[in-house]
Amino acid sequence: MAKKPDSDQKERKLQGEKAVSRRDFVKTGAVAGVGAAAGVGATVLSTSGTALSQVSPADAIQWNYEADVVVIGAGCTGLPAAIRARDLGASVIVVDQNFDPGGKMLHSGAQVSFGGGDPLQLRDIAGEGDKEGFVTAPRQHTVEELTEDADFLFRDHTDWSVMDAAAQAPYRYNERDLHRAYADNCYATREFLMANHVRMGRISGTHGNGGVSRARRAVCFLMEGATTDIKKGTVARQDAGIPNASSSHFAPRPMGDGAKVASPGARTNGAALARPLEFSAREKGVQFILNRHMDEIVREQQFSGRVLGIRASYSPRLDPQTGARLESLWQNGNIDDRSETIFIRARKAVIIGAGGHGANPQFRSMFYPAWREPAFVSSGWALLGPRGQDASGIIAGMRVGANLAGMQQNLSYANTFHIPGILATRDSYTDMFPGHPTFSLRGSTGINLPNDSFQHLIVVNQVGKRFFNELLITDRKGGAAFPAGPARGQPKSGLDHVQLDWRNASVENIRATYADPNSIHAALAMNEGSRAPDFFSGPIWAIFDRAAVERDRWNIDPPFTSPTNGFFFKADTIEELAAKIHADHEFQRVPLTHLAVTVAKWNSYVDKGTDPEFARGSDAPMYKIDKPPFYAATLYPVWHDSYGGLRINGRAQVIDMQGEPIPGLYAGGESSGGGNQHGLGRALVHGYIAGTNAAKEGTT
Amino acid sequence: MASHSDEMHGHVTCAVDVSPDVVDAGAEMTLRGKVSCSPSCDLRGHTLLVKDEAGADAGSVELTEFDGETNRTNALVLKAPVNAGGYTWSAMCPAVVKEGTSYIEASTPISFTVTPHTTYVVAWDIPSDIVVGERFKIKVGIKCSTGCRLTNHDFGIYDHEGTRVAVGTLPDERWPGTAGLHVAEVELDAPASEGLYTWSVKSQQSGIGVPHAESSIDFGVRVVGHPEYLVTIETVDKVTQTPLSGARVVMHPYRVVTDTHGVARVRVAKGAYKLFVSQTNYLTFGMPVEVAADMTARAELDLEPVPERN
Repeated sequence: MAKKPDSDQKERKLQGEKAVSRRDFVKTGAVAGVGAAAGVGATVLSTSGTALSQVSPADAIQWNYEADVVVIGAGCTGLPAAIRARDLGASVIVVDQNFDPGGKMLHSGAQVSFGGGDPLQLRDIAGEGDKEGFVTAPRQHTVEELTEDADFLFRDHTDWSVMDAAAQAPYRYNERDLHRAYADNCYATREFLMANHVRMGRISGTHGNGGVSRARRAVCFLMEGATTDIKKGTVARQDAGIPNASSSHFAPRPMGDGAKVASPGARTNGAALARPLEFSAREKGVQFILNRHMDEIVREQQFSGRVLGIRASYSPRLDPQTGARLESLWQNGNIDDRSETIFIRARKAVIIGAGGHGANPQFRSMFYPAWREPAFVSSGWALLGPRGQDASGIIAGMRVGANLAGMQQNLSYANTFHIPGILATRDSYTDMFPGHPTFSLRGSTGINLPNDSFQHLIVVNQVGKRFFNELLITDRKGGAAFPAGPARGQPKSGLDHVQLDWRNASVENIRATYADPNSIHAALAMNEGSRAPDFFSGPIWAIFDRAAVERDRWNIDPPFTSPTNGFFFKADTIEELAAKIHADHEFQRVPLTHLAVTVAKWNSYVDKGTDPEFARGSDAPMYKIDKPPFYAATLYPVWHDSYGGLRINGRAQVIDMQGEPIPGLYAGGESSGGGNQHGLGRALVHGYIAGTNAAKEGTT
Repeated sequence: MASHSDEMHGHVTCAVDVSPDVVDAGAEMTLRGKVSCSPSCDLRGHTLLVKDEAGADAGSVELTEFDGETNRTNALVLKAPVNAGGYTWSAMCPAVVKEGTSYIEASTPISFTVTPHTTYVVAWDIPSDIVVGERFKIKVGIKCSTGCRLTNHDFGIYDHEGTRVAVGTLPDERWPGTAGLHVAEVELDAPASEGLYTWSVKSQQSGIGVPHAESSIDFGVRVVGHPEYLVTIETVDKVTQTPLSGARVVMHPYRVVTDTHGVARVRVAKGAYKLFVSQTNYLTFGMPVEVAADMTARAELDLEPVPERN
């Protein structure tokens, strides 16, 4: 096995090289090339050109397609935006760089926190189930814990006083206009989802930064059945996947058990949200141009005038074994256009739902220089491909004059970047199994270890030195959410929490509740192998022996590990292990010079029963690493959420540097900033708002 | 054709690169030669001869490339000598007459160093608590960096004062799951007083056949007094109260595993301990215990929450 080049970086570089300015294509004329299929409501245009001197910039461009609303990204902003705009009578084209819709939503846990007295809070308050009889689980919260209105939710999401256990303030910096609109649209968005085949179970708590005062989260599910039938709310077992064994094209991660929130037989995760929305969009006539990366937003003038459309380049993803292009699960509504570059005109508006910046090392390093390390990827890396989460929506908006918002909020949520406990895979956040078309791109599921299992190993940096107490490495604190309380940084729990109370932010409270181990920062620190100019921290390795595998019963066989993807190694001796890592891991730039000494030192600490370097031994037993064979598995940090992006107002319009909306341009979800709510809720509401307002725009 | 009296004389310069220039005994090394002439001359088809220190032929390689100035050979792969040390071989370009020019013989030294093979030593299955004066067993594994069979290779066990307390010879047996780690079991006598001692295993230098360098690894020998008291630990799932078999109980340095009834029994010396009970997918249970008599402890373990993903 030889070291592989950083293929992601190469692909991204190519992407950058393709970029041309609007002036360039006005001057030279657009390429010809018309899609094979005409969309419902969308227009395939002729290739005839018109003399530039006689026409407006919009007419000078040779548009390949045209629709009322063009949506960038088929994720949890894009799909609801597209459906909503279509519901209101607009023709819609959705463009996505990936081969299959769903975005990050598809691999999520489908936990949707809304609130403000949304229909599911009211359903639980009334003690009712759903019309189909799927939700039979008992209510999980009291009436009081579910009762609120939009004003109450708005206060929760803009509460200056709330501090989390990492001493971060997650709500005070939120954009007020945006969150007023969010609170006012939660009811309608929940209702909208249910009207588009999305089933959700009981309200159960609230997850990260969804507010601390009331329960607001519902998890999406489908019922396991003989066939997959979105309208009937069923998913076949082979589509749902087998937990800890197999994925499917339908569900990149095996769907979990939803008995607690719905009823026995309910299967949950992002597939239960993304697939129904995709199904509904296709059924309603939304057109999809997949394998198509948006490179540029076309505006009348760079910093003035209406947004006219987009330029997008062909971005197919190929199976590494067969070379065949990966194809979407469902095909109806697809426009299969393989020309290199196309232009799509938006008669009403462009909506950016292209995701965040977690996979763009240059962009994310604005927040944290250590994250320029290209080894570390965004969650869903294999699923989304190298162009997923590449900040292209934000960058395209900036190029036409958009302002940014919430740029510091990446630091206000513990899940933004962290070290998940999945070893031996580059995407340490997502537990994909064989069965999904992108599995071969990652090669291994990874060894998913609970935190306590870290007592059986040590973790070293790129030169082979330990850098932190291993039992704290995956620990992260933050995410202030109901039911609040000291574990999440607030002095009071549940209904006792008081909004806007100065005591929440008092020094005394922070002293009492601060619990952030800061391990991620130790992992990203410079070390003896860091070199100018970027001083990359390099890969991180979990080192363990045969005894650990036997003791804690780890499955280290494929598909959990791969013998060839360079993220897992086995050797007879520690010295051989170090040599193999250096030879065959793509991002191991320096030898692990200290590994043998580190292991010997660790074994001596175990004999003594104490770890003078990092205080292991006080919370869990220590074990020697001495029984061959020896193993090394990556323990990669991952950038999961993105906060900070295009500034949008309460109508989801993108705002320019003068504080004015850019006509015809909308955005939401992780392409936008100023909303520090974790998960799907904010993106779904943004999409709903954007679709509503985009459809109401006048036609150009 | 030029007559003998018309013949011109030319000069030949040759050089040879050897890679690696520090090479394991008996391992392969690659030689690449280049020959330049003045005046320039295409010597393709001619041969570069390699001779060892005694002047005996070690190999030959043909000049196959010419770029107008320099002639180059293909790679010549040779086995390094099996004895460690510094070597200077030579490469010779024989005299040749080419297009009326006579080129005299030329040679160049080829210097390299042969080193003994590295060996790596591993020691495991060392009991965590060894009672004073009692015998105990450990496993010793040794591997050659280049994969040599180390059957009959000797090793020694040295105590904390550097005294050799045991010797061993590697059998042909390899440790399961490894590619070539020879393994032997050794029985040893514990020191006569309590304490933590650092002992070592040394792989002896070997001069038989291919030389192997000496190498070693330290290991700890924790010697305890005669345990006086019996500690019984009952381990259950906190919610279901189901016994947890196979749970690991640690009262440093004592270690034991629970049986099928979730019970572990361990004899310990009088003293203060931190009792840990850990089991896969459970949060580790820990509590301080003071042992001054036989005692029973109960550990109720909570399942470890599964991280949310969204």
